[in-house]
Amino acid sequence: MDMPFDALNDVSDDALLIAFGNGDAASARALTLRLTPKVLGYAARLLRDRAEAEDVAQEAMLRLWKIAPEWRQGEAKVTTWLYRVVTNLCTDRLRKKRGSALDEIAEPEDDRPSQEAVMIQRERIDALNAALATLPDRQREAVVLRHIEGLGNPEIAEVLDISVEAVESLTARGKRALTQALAAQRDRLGFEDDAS
Amino acid sequence: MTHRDDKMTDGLSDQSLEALFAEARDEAVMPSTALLAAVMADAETQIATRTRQEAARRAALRPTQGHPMLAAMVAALGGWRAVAGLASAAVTGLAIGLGAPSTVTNLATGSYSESATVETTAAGDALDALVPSFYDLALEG
Repeated sequence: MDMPFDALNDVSDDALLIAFGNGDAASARALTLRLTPKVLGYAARLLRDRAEAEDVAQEAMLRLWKIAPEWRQGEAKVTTWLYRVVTNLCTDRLRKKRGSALDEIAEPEDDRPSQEAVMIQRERIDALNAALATLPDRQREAVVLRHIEGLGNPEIAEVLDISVEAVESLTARGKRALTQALAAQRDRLGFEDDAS
Repeated sequence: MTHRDDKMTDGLSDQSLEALFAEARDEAVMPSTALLAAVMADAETQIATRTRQEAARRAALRPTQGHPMLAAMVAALGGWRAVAGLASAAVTGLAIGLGAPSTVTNLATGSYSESATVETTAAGDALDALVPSFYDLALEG
């Protein structure tokens, strides 16, 4: 499919969504190019399954298209709304998967040695994702939104429907748990000089 | 390399963790062309659905059509404009008939005379005030 460059770069998400609600297909194209990578990236980090993340991304975008006619400018941030939808969709999927595939999700990758330098970064990210998967849902969501998606605490509070204090507590506990989970792999991940 | 304060006692240091987060941030998860196409297709379906719904809503708001036989009659007479003209002519004819029966009779029977007109206008009836104009109209054909 021929996807033209997002020519509406300066137009806000809000304005594009309202224009789409009025039947403008060009706005939908701009929003698709702008928001789908964010939605997919967040879903992939929560689910650690590319195919499922794509399903979630498509479903979240479909819900956005459906709500467009009722969208009012300035009422909410489009990305906040989307992160919230993705969080809920991923939570549902993880709950369904749990039980049968919990171990598969929670266990870090095995210790296969990395020969190539280019593999080290991949391995580090895999290790981080594996460690993230060991966290409780809320902690994982808060840490990913804060430290990878780059959202502020008030926005995360809105996404997760909790207080800002609760977000701070979740991210602090999440980070502490991550450092513990990754400690054993410190040498392999190339953090030798940080060893205490 | 790192300050002692940044380190966990038995875990990865905060700085190392931050470095990992930064690497994860830089790793773009690019959607496939198929996913983008599917998302766009959903958007276009929504536009089409809404257009259809809007058309249906407007159709529902439009006043309902009258009796089909009445519509057929109007069409046979040449449409609503023709019917409006016909109705005007009918009302005018009725007014003339009611307002000046003797003039009309005289005109119709060819017994029109100056005296008859004078007599009629002299009657001074309220309806007779209309006669001159209708009379002119009748003369013009």
